[in-house]
Amino acid sequence: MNDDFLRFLSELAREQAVARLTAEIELPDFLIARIAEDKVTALEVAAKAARLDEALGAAPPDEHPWELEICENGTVLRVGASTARVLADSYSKEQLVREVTAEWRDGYVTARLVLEFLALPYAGHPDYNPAWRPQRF
Amino acid sequence: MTDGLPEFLLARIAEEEHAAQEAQKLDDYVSPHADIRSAEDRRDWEVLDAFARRFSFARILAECDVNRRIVEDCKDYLLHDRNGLAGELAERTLRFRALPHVEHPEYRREWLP
Repeated sequence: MNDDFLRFLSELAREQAVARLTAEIELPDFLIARIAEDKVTALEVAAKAARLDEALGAAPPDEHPWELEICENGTVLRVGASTARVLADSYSKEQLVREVTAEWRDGYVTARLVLEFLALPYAGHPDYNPAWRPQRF
Repeated sequence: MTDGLPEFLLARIAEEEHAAQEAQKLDDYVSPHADIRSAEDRRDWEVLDAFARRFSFARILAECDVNRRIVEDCKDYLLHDRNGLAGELAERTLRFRALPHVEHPEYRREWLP
């Protein structure tokens, strides 16, 4: 291999590395990642449910989905959802994202809208792209 | 057949939204047993804290809002393009969004994806 060819390969590798680093995260991938985080957070609580009840005197979220309150140094926390509800919802959302991703890539407006709406509750995440905001928002 | 499915979903969303709004109004309550005694207790508390922060009432209400918009849009697509791809996508979307309510007495097996 001559030097020019090696330089060409080196430049190609550098360009590909830059392209990977600067590639925009796609909406379906962003959603799958956030849904996975939701599931992990819920599964961690679900796995500790019995111990939480005993050690903290706190009912696990599945028993009192809207009223769990934990106190530390006077801080009261309220939980909005039960772990079971979160896991069921996550499963439904994950399946839906996988179902409509092909149509989203083909540019179908229905698929685009569904994914954009599903992503809205995660709009505060640093990886959220404002271009995903549905046009009416 | 998805007859009645949008209405079923809108009713569940309204229930969830109402429950979240009512729970938000509750007076602050201090659990008499919540007592951090050990490192394991603290780790448990942190796990719960992460869950509570991620699934705040604000998050749940935001979810209700987007779910309602999804259902309303899908209703429109079903109305105007029932046999086209938009209608088919809308139907699939509604079926999947109804899955978490599969144990509700008004849920119909024909709505399964």
